[in-house]
Amino acid sequence: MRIVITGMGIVSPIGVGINAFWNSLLNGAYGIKPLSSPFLTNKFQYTQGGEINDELFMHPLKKIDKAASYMLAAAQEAFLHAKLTPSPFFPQEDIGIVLGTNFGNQTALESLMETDKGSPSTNKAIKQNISFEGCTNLIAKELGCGGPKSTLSLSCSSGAAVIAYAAFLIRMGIAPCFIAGGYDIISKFSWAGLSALKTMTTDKLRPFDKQRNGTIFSEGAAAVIIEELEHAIRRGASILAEVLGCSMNNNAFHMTAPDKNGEGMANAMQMALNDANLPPEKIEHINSHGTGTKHNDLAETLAIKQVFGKHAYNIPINSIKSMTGHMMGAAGTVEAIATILSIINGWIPPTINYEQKDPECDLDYVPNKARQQRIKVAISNSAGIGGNNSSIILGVYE
Amino acid sequence: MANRTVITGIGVVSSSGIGFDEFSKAFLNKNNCTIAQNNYKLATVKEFSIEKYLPTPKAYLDRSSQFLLAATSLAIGNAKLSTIPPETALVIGTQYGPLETEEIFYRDVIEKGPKFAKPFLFPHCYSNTGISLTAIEYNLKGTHVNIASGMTAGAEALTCAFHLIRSGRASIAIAGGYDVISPLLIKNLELTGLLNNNSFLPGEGAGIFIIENYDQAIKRNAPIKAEILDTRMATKIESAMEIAKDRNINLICLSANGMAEIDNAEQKTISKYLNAQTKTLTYSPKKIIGETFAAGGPLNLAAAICLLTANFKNYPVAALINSINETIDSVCILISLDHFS
Repeated sequence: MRIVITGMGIVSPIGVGINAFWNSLLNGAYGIKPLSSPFLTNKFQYTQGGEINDELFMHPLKKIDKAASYMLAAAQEAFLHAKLTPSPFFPQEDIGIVLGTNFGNQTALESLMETDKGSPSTNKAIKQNISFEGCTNLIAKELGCGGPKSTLSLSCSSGAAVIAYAAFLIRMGIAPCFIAGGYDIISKFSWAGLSALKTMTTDKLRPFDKQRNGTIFSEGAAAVIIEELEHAIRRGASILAEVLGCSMNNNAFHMTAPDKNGEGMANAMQMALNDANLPPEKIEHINSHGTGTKHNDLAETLAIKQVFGKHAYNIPINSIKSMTGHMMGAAGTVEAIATILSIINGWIPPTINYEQKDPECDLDYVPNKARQQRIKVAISNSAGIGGNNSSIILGVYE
Repeated sequence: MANRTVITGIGVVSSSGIGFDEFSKAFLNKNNCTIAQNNYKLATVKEFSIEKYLPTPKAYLDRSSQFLLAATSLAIGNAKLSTIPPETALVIGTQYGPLETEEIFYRDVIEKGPKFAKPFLFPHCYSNTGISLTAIEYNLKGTHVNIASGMTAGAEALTCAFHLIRSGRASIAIAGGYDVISPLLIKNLELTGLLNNNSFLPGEGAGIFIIENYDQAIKRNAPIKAEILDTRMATKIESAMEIAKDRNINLICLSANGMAEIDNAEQKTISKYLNAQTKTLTYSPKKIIGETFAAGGPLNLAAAICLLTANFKNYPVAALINSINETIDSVCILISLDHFS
């Protein structure tokens, strides 16, 4: 069964909407700025992040949780992009939804922890949002998705895992079409935890650079419409790319310590290649996880070498996190979208802030300037705390 | 061709006992461990000690992770698996994950300040903490999915594992669900009025299963407990229950938990179904073990195997297991017991 992508939507620190996002990627825009929340800037060591510009982002449903509002906007854009309107020939039951997140609707959780007794409206919001499926239910209701709903939480690989899982559900005949997306927000809870882990930098985010010394977290949401090819053709959809193979696995190594030789990420890429029934030589571009931490970027480089051998040196590899920041649960979907846009447009966005070559990270990281290059098949990698990995192989639709 | 998919191991942590044998005995005698707290009752797990189930001590584990690790250990033992292949799939569901640790971590931040945030606690605050610790403990490097789809998450995990085996994507999977009662969950249930509902018994537990390809299970002489014939997830209970259509079903384990929206939707559909098959027994395990959230579907499956084994002698027999959440998203699992050996 062939599976394709027919719509995309995004809310990111470098642009709300696919066109704005793509223009920013090609121009090397940097989405990291001082945080707007006084609580965060006054109390924490790490005071820069990738926030959504609320002047650009005004969702009509203002009463919903911030995380859900980003996810809804991204899903709506993807829905419209795919012209996904239910009809007698395309019932609502055909459209399922799979969303992924690290932290869910943080506003509700923080309210619950901070409030001794909530007001009726707070209580209602908490009831709807304290568990992660609340956002999924809300988006399904708003968009009229009548098919199966699912919510995943696989730390920062969640955004890629939702695509892999939706593809799996389509192949298993659960439904022919899914909205798949990831989201997360910067909140007091998440920032406190991520700061405590000390994986962030107070410098620039510079993946694969010798001077790199940490990542910078950001927020947002992204969604794709993923469907069975025949279904897309029947309803006359424009096909953006094909999902050729996917994987979700675990390093089985340590909760926080990196799998230094990259075995888990290598396994994830190999599992996706096996799923796609493709040899490694067919991969022409890698959209890396590339967080900017010492260990991740080295481990990912080693993983790429394990899987691709000498061919690794021929593959242009970028980290768009250098521009967007690390969008946590959204990152995997955001990077899959960037990969699809690279395939469609024949341009590979750069890894910005790249100044000094690291002798241990010696592959082609597309430094600082976008590169024009036709791509037929590419892979997007994601990983997360707890050792989760997910790789998605995307190809030009022929 | 689809592979036959069988259950070879069951691991249970519940208010009615720890381990499948103890659970079965207590469940059939309708025993549970219900405690009274303020004006309401909770079905809690008592006399639980994680040290019994892990070969090495751990510095810190949220109670939810303890339940998952213990139930996994029990399932592996119950399946008589001497070695666990690294490519084993791991598919687990949880609704609330480690809420208790999240609250402990966040209270320090709010009350004492960010510099008092405990770095070692934060990795134990993720929804995927339990599944990641399980992968690490048993060196599980295969397909890995953490499902957080509310009360149906555990049943969805079983559905996912069933499809992985049936389609040949995996030959063995560890799957199920878990959730625990924590002070924050009680607060949430209080705020949302659920604790004022006398019919709703909050519970906790874990239900984990070893699911295998039938041929592989036979080859290794595994103790086959049941065969999974089919599963379905849908947004309506009647759509999910269609897997039972035209089949002789001996037992239905209901999702009924005292929440009007769930019970009414299920009862309406079951009534229609029972008109056609009057000999089908219905049972509500949650009256005994409580609403255990993402563990609910898996514990209903364990209850179904226990009830079929105890009540029917003329095999094959079949059971339908329902798992329904507040928005009536439903997962149904159809199993059969036969003389597998």
